[in-house]
Amino acid sequence: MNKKIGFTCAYTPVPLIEAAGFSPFRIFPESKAPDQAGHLLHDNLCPHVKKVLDRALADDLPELEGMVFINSCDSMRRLADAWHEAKPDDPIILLDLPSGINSLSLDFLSKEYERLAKTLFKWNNEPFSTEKIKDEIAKWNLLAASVKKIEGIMSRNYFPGIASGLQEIINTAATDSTDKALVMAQNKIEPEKPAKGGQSPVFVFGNLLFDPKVYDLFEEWNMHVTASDFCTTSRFVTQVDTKADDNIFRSMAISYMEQTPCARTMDTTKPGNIAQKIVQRAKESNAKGVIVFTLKFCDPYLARIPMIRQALQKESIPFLMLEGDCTMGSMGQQQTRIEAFTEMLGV
Amino acid sequence: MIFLGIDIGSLSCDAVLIDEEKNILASSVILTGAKNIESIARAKKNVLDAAGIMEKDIRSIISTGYGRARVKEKDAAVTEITCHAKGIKHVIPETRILIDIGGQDSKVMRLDPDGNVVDFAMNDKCAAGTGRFLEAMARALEVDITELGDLDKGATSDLVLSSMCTVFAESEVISLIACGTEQKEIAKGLNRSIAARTNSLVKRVAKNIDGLTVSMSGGVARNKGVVKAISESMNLEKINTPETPDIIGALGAAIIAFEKIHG
Amino acid sequence: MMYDHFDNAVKGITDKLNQDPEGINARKKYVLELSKLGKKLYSKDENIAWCGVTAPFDLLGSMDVTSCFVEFVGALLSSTQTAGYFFEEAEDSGFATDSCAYHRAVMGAVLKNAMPEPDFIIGTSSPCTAGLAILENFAHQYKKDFFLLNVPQNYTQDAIKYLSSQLEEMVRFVSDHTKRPLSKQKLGIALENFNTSSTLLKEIYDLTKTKPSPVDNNILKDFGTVITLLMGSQEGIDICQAFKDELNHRIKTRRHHDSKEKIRLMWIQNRIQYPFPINEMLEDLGAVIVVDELNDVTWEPMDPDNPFESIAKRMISIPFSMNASERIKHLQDLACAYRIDGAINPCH
Ligand SMILES: Nc1ncnc2c1ncn2[C@@H]1O[C@H](COP(=O)(O)OP(=O)(O)O)[C@@H](O)[C@H]1O
Ligand code: SF4
Ligand code: SF4
Ligand SMILES: [Mg+2]
Repeated sequence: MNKKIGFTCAYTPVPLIEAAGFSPFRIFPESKAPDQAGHLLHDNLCPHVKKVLDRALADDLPELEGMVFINSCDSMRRLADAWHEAKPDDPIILLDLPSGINSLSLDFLSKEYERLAKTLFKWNNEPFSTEKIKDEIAKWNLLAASVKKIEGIMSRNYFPGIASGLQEIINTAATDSTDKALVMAQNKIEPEKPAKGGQSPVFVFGNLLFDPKVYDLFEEWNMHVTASDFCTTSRFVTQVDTKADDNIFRSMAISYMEQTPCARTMDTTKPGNIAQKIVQRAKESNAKGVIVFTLKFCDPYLARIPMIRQALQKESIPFLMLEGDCTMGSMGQQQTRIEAFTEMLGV
Repeated sequence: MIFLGIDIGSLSCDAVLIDEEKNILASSVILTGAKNIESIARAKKNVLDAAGIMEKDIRSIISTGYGRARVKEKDAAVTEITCHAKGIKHVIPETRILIDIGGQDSKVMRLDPDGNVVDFAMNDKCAAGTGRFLEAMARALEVDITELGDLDKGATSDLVLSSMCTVFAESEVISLIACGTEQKEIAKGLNRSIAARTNSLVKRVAKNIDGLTVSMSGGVARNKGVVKAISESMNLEKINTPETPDIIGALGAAIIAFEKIHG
Repeated sequence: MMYDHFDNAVKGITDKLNQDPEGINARKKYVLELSKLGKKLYSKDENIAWCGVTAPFDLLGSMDVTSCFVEFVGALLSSTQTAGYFFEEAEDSGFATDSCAYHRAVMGAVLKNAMPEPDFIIGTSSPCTAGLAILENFAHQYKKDFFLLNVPQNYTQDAIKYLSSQLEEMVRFVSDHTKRPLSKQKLGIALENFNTSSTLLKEIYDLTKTKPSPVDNNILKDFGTVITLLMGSQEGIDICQAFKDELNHRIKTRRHHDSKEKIRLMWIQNRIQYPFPINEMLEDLGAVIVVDELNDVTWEPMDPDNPFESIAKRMISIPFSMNASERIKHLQDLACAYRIDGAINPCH
């Protein structure tokens, strides 16, 4: 078993972790650990960050060789700060992630990714090797391609169980190994159960939604998830376009910045473009409606909801906004809303 | 053929029987209580007895309300949002905005001319602005809930309750009483604060309500003071309320039962 | 409506100042300058840029762009008690009720088309993610071009180079819009002004450290952040000079030596904007806010021969752009320097 490296944000390139001989361990905000984050951080931080910190404070984590943080938003910055307090002995690296996409920020991020790679190799006393990185990227890209295929099947037809199955694959890649996820993915490309009708096609997006059981609930509530955009689904498995640049780190920077449309990253040439992207993905996946799952206090998302709402309204696509803490536990409260939404959409 | 709709709400368990022509044969409103299985049976028996009909004559049953899954004999469960919309379409067909304030949540629906829900907003985070909140306030004012609706008559001040949390509002009401504020002013203040909350829910589904017929269902629609305050805060001449607002959900469920069979 | 608000303020304060030509009246002069800025922002015949808090206002000023951070409007709406109306608009469209009140007010104003129209927008990734998100909404709603300054969190050579290159790009972006190139000479003057203002600021802050302090709870309220809007100009220097004179005068006349300064406080972050008598409440208790976290000079003098690099360093060095330990260290330094007894940290 490889030693593990913890991380929390979808902008963390897993291939770099594996190339350095570590296993990735994404810390999901899911824990029975008592609510202690408030001792270290302000209460007005998103439950994602608070729960991850709760896990650290309660030692509800496997042994980690180090932590990779990305200053993707204010909450994430504060999480990195608090980690120093909660786990003073853990090696930590904090990457600066630009908020906008342009040539300068791609240069900068590629240097940050390079710094991350070198640090990881050093942590494992391994000689730095671009070859290893390239090998891992090749494997990761195979996984990304399989995930795309499964997503394609999902958007065309309703196959019961496929959404939760896909989530299991992605979670394996996030918390175990790309190899294992790849095997699972190749077995999933043929759906196990036949296609069915009678469900409302819905595109779902938001910050995180990682519990596979959530997708089973959605199906129970008459939803056919045609596609999803969370940093625990498609945003996480970012295909690295190795042809984008001769420098492998710049290729990664380009791929992660451009393909992973988290609300915190903006296309400065087209303010509000995230709304267009959501509309486009909803349409491409043949969804009749869109549901967003937001976390309380998540400014990067909440502040963009008005634009997204407007853009969907313009296209007459019904939109439902749900607020929760991204766990199964909070989902029960949403049943009536989700069912009413699917009743409204029809099939 | 007979169709039954049952609405198991947080406070009341309502049943409606309709016939082939969608005529209401009987309806019943009882308290849900702690044992909802028993209330469901009782509500059903009430309407069957009142209409003089045997259980086997019921062609189809649709349940709704937050306890909709608990009705064993249902043919399907449908949310109260869809059911209230169906129900109001039957009694006030021109409705475009429907406000349903029940015991523990409030909902606003925007309807198209055919009575289909095209958007909705729901507040169920806390008891604030719901029937249960009003009941607590009635207790603080030492009146019966049925008297609360007329209590604000003749109020002249523009008092608004600042806290909407049941606990805080209750102590605010008590301290207002202690300061000698008249009952009617307090009641008006209460209604105004509920109206403000409801209004912001309405705005989520319709930025502009000009020319839209607004109706209200759910038990709180029986509270004239609240209805009036809501219409004032929305600058409306009037808000329509059906004669029996608490059975609209069950009526809608019965109509859906009918439509499932008749397409 | 806002234009009239500022216009009236300018007239009113000018009248008062004319009645007292000998007085120092630092705070009045300061509010006058800000009202003039407000007037320009709400008038149509200037090049206007709405910005993030850490934008380089001296550089923009040297390019004849009238610029300001949007939080200024949030504070304004709040102090004039008109924010409630805009809160509602923001909340009704899905912006959370528990988000920062400055941003909620601005968001409401953006959605209601009540913001003065800019020519372009310059966002900054520091101090907060929400601020940037609001500016994105602003640019989207008003269909304005956007320029983003990414302010890295780690103070490294790469980070400084990255930010200074962005500043150079920003200059090109601004020139494209104003059709005027950057004048090295004007920039040089602006940076000299900025340096002179910085020196005066340091002197002001040194005076406030005296025990008992010559400040009252109001005089330097929200000074550090807002004065950056003016520091590149002669007016900025004049204001700083007036504050310095005022504090010196107070010390000389021992006006505050008789005061009952029982408790010395530090205010963390910025002050409360809506009408709320906290200053008076504290005064009654003999508590004086002797220092605000944001009233400090954390940067080296600007080097006119290396303008972009020095501005970049300044932007990164602001403690709230960095990690928590840097900010805490800064607070500790202030606590010692000002010999405080306690601190207040509000939540906006
Ligand atoms: N006669 C009445 N006068 C005033 N208010 C009433 C009356 N009857 C019911 N209510 C209000 O209606 C609420 C219950 O509404 P209802 O729609 O039955 O709730 P639910 O659907 O959650 O069971 C009560 O809490 C009470 O505030
Ligand atoms: S929501 Fe965005 S910033 Fe936050 S963890 Fe996910 S990818 Fe990172
Ligand atoms: S992007 Fe939102 S959910 Fe993710 S860490 Fe930041 S505030 Fe939390
Ligand atoms: Mg009900």
